[in-house]
Amino acid sequence: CGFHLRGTGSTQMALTELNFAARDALSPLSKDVKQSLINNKVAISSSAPFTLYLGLEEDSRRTASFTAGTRSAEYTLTTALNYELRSGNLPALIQDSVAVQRSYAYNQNNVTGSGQEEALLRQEMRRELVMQLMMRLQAITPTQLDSLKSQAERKERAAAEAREAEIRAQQFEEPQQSPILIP
Amino acid sequence: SATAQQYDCKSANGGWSCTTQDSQTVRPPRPEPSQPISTSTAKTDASQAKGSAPTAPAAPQSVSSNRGKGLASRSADFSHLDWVPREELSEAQLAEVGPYCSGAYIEPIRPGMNDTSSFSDSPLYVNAGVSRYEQKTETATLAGDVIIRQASLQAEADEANLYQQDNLGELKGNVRIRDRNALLVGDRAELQLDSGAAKVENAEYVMHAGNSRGSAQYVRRQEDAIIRLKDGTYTSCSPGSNAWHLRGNNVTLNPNTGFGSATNVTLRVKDIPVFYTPYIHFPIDDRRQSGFLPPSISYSNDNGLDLTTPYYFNLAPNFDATLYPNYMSNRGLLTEGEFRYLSKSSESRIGGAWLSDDEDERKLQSEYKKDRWMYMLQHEQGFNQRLLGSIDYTAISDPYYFQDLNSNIIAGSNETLDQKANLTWRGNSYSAQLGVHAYEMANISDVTPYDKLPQFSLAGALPYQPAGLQMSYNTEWTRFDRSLKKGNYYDEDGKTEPWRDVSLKGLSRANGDRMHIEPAVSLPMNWSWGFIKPEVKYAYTRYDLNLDSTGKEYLRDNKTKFNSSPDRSIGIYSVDSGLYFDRETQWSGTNYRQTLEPRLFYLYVPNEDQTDLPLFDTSEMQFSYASLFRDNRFSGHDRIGDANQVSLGLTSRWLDDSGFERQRISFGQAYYFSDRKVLLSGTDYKKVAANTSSRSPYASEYMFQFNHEWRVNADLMWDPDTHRTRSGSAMFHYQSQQDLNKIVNFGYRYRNDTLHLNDDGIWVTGSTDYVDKNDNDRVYKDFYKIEQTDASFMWPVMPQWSVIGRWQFDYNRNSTLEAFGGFEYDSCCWKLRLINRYWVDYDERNMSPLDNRTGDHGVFLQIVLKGLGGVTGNKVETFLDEGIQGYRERENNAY
Repeated sequence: CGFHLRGTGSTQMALTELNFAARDALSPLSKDVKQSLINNKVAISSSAPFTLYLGLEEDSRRTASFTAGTRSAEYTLTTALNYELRSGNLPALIQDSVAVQRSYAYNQNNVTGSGQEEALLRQEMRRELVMQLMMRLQAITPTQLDSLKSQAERKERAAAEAREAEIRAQQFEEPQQSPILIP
Repeated sequence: SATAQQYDCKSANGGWSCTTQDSQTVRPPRPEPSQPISTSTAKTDASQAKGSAPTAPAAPQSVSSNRGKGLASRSADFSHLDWVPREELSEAQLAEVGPYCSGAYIEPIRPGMNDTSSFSDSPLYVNAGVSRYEQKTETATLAGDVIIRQASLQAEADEANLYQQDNLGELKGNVRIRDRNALLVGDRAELQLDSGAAKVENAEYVMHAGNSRGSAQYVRRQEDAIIRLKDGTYTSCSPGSNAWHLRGNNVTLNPNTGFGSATNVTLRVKDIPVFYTPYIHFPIDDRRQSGFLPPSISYSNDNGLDLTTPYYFNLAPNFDATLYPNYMSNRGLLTEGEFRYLSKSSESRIGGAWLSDDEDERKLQSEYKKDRWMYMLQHEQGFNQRLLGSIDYTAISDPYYFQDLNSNIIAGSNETLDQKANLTWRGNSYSAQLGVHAYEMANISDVTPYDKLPQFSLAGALPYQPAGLQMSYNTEWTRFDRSLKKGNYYDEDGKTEPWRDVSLKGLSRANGDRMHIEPAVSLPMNWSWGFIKPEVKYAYTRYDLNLDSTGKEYLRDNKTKFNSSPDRSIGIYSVDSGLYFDRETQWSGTNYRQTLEPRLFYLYVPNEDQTDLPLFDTSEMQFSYASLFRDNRFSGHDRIGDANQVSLGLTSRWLDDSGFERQRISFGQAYYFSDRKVLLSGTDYKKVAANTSSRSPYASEYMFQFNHEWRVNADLMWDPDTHRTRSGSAMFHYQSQQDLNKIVNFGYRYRNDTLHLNDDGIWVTGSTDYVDKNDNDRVYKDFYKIEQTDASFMWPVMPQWSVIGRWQFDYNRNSTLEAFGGFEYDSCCWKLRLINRYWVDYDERNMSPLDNRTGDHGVFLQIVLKGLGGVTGNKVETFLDEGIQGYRERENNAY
């Protein structure tokens, strides 16, 4: 039905090298992403033309349902990550986020055990988050980034020129000499 | 016309000889086409764009007669206040303007506006239609579109006298004095030419960046640009509106700090005084906001009339404080405060609250306190990149604190409070952590949890991988401790019943140390088309236990020997494998990559008798798709489940061109080759159907998200042996990205496999009945089953009006858990929310979970005067945030 084993088609990671930067480069998430890039045969080098930048892992939790006694019975956990693809000092070429949600049943009479379960779920969610991120990165090609880069450069140049023009205009308009001189 | 030309005056023989000259300046047009000036007059001077002098000046209207509006007699369209109607704003300007504002104050571009040189060093620029100089008195008399400019200050008037001896300028008729981000308009003004100090009579002012304006009989501009008003007003409403304004004796606007202050202030709505305060401090631009936060008024059965007027102190760019005085007519004044501090490497929050409670309905209950207090400390510290420290500590006066009182600084349901601190070292291939974690109970009906005092853990992997072998380790040493409650609990009526902890028997009363070592070797093999990962783990756990006499007695009675230092060693063998198939497909005109990912997981763990081990941090996790691929069905290290099983799973994804996962469906099942003998508690696994069946329930998961705006999540665990659903849920979330105001949530949740501790201290999975001993042994069917729906929305129904609502219903108990409905009115300078709410409060009066449900009803009113502070904290905020997913995002982007 049209399915073929991956790798025999054209769905390899198109990026072969990336620079890696993160708000917290030593966090477990950053380590996992780095490892995953290496596993996907992406070389991590500071001289690469494009940079993958990771924001902080944002964890939140809300009550999903209540017990008969109206205590929290289930929690929904969310883990989200903002990421950017950058080039030099240009504004982000691609800016997006991935998020993963999971629910679990909270146990009031075993708070310590529930805490342990939440920690385990967070670990699994982090792995899922990294996988989602890799799927996004797989869809990005260097050609696409190059064209985004030249777009961003054009925009940046235009903005710089506009700024300069404004400064020039103001300097020119600034009357140097008062029309009326008071002795 | 004469004003189309400028005069070039040169001093000659005691008088001035003036010749006309063309204006040499071309300025960017300002978006003010309300003035009938065609854009072709490129050689327009700023003085003209302001509009020419009125031909027949009417007697100037006094600002004290404007009832809080702008003076329409100066210009009907308020262009004299730099007001530009919405239709004429540029795209960029519009983006800065609130959705319901009819326009904005736009500062025109003028020469010198960005000049930062000091006043005394700058040359004086003077221009006028005609001028005359009186040598004897050293007075210059100017008339016709007078412009005086020095540094960033510019003054315009119809006429002016410059007294050179006193360095004083006297301006008359249509006076406007501009500084950066400030405009003063008046009938007459005195301007100190050497310092920039000015005094304007019958004045109106505009602070462009803060979107605010006001008026006063006299406005003084000090040398340091601070503006002082005598009996002045302040508002963020548009010039034609007097929805609200402040009126104070001494109003000070300080553009250097971004704050204003006023004394003896009345808040007026349509010029009618409604509120008085002796002093107020408020923001005047879009810098960090400070001042009163929106007040909240509510009435509920529990607290009576309830009024909170938070006040925010902006102390420095990196620290601030908020005070929440909360008056409740049934209880008294709850004073709550919070202090936040931010540095380059740390972040802290300290808060506290205190109330002498007049309500004494809990007087007979155990642990009742009249003086209620709460304090908390949160601190995160990066000593360097690798060494991190954190503290999260909350303490309360009594377990009922969060049941009775609301907090503006601690969100959430707060059934137990964390008291923990961690020190983490993060190496390249390992991380080490030293932590302490205690819990404080915010209820009386739960079993006391174990504290970890302390816990040391070290986990990582060896940096080298000989022949592709990955070697990792996970070690942990923890001291688990809790002091169980003894004796009886006194309920609301003074009746006694034993504390919940008393039901704990035998080993569950133990405290002790636990050491856990878990090295693992795996050989992961990854290809683009699949993976296989065989893994061997060895888990060794050793305990050092203390047991109280009650526990020991129980063991003796049951003829069980107490082993004070049990240990356990188990091998865990697993093979995880999977394949990836892809195909390109199309679906309603979009290209997708559809994947098919079969996964096979084999797990073998030999059975080891673990009944002599306590349960410190271990629970049995509910069955789900993810649990098919876990190597332990228990969380924590006190139980390692025996297994001889194979799990099969199949996932299919639809990815669009950007790799965005639009749809995912997973389906799987585990097949067991032997019974699972290890139980959380109890000894006879044969009585537990889930542990003897040869196959697991079917596990399925479904996710569909059209884009970032809406998503559907669903899952279903269905047991083919019993033909019953174990658990299932369906959740729908929509939030428009264009209009964050449009939110719809719907959720349905079902769960029939929760764990609970029965009266004999044994953990039971699945729903059973509950017998209420406090109510003549009344039986509640399926007490522990969860079956609930939750629907919530926020939706704009017409411009400025939004409806808000939520309904959460419990089918199992056949009752509404929470229902609220109301509306929000939003305008340019104020916002109002009125919400009627019914909710079931958790309010412990005895140990019975059912008696502790109380229906409560409240009406909540929230008023936000924009420009007087941000929208944070607050009771309405809390239940809207907790009740409506997406509300926070909406508020964070509100104007």
